[in-house]
Amino acid sequence: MEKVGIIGCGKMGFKHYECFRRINGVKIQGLFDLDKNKCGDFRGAKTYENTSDLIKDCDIVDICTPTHSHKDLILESIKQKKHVFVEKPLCRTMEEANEILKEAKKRKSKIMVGHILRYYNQYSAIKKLIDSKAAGTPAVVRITRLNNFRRGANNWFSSLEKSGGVILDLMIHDIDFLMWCFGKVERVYAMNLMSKNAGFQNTDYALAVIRFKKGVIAHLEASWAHPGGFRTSVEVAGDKGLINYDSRTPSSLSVEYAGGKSFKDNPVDDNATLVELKDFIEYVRSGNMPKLTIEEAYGSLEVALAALESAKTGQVVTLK
Amino acid sequence: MGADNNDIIKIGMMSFAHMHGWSYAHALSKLKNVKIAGVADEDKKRGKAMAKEFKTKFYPTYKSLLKEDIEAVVVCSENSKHAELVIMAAEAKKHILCEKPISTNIKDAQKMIEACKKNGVKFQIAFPCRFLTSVFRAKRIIENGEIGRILAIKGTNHGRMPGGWFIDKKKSGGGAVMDHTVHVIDLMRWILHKEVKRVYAEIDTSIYRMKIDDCGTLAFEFEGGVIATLDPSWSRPKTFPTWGDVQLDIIGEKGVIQVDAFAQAIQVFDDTKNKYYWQGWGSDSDAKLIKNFVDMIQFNKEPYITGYDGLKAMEVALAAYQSAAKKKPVELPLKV
Repeated sequence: MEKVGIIGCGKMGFKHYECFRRINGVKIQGLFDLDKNKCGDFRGAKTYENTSDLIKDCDIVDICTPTHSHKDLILESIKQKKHVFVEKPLCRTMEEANEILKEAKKRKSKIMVGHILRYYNQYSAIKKLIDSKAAGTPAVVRITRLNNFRRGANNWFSSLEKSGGVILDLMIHDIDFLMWCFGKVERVYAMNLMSKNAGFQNTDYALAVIRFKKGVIAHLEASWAHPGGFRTSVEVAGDKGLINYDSRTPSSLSVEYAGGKSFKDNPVDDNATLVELKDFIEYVRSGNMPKLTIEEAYGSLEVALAALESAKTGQVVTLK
Repeated sequence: MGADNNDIIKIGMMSFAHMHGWSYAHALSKLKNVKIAGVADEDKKRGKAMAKEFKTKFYPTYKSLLKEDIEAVVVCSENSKHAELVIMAAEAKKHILCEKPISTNIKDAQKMIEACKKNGVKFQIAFPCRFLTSVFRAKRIIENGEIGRILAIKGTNHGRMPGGWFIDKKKSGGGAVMDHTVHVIDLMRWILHKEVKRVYAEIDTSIYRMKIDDCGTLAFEFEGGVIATLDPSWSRPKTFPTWGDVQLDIIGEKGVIQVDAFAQAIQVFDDTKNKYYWQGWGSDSDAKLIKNFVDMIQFNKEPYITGYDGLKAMEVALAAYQSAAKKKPVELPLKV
């Protein structure tokens, strides 16, 4: 029986709570959030007054807090010999990431970062197609991740210092996916609105061009500026064909209600978050490596921060 | 030349090396106030066939065509010959519609613009994408202020690998990037009323592995800070249901616009051809470009798309090649 403590009870914390409850042998030990009112939606779970007590009482710490607070919570958890699941990105800076990796090596704690795309049916299917050379050798890849702007606690997403903007919050998903498919990155050039400090509140939009060591050219788009809501797409153009995925078209389910409201969905049996957290629990229990190692999460963070650096300086950033 | 409405405007065709020549001639042939007065083409077989199709006379040389009593010409030669033909036509005092890109280098483009100015002829570049209905509508929405200030544009102009002289750098000046950058850059400049300030590009030959570039991705910053990208790759496979696309995602302060200009298409699954394809049903932008060119002559207006527009669009493609070679962003305008 693993006891899980969830720190951060926003959107992701609630999602994780709902999934952990469905995993056999896992118990929700308790919750912590700076805003106690938020824990009210979590039926029957115990609310803690501080993180230290919660960390002490559980086996697994699930960190769903704003990005800039990840490092301290990870370090405290692994010092207490707890396993850690942390929402992506691993942390806010490379200095923090280096410190985390250094400490993690010294200890036996298992750490996993929530780069969830690897657990989505459609992204796994795309990777399988790429690996089987369905479009020949990939040449140019286009990947997008669009959403409207979300107000997190104290509007932390709007702070480049705290969230790293749309590059570190959304684009990093696609960076991780592309690195899963194509390996290491040679160089990156990126642009985003927040880095330009154009005086816009509560929005960000980023465009990036990545050259992989394998030669693949990738175009990445990440947005908090699309009022129509969440959507993603992937296009892989190879020397023998094209692979194209769009989260909205086609959709296997469309519902229209009298009065005009409607929605479209592509439901699947197991939601990706549940599969991801099951993989993590399996890692904790048996040591079987999950689909994503901490080193890979470190690599994705490195490229995302290189993109952020490029956006800030206007120069291309070459990876080591 | 002050033609009144009843006059017939005589127009000559200079080369059909570019396949758009047929489309432009076809559009000219539909206009009641236009006569295709002749065809000149270095490729005699092609020229004679076109002359026959459009029921006009074939001229063995460009000079012999230009000696005739015609008011304007349409130049659809290989890119590298645009300069020679346009300057020749300007000196013969003919108005000119020149296929894009304007030329293959900045010096030639400047000479072309200068020759037209000196000889008092109108010089228009063929950017038919300005006449795509969804593009035109998007521009109007933006100019009404409906999505506020424009912050970013993501564009694509994908296509199939055209082959022929397009993959001979001496004749085309470059591959996919030269071929497909200028259309969308022209749209971005036209929408934003701003010039590109910085270009970064990754360019490669990884689809067909020929000497010439066939794919890439370009990133731009415009004056005033608008960020943009463009994918000009010849990355549509033979099995793709249509030739390619022109797409613009325009991000504004108060909304976004997505243009997929050639999405006006019917899906056809045709076992008789063993083929799945899209049959377009949208309006004909080439016809509107041609009508606009003819109206310019008839009503003595200034060109809607100038030689300078052609030069600035080509300059971005040239800068992209420089950036890819240097692996660094390149600042505009380029030093000549």
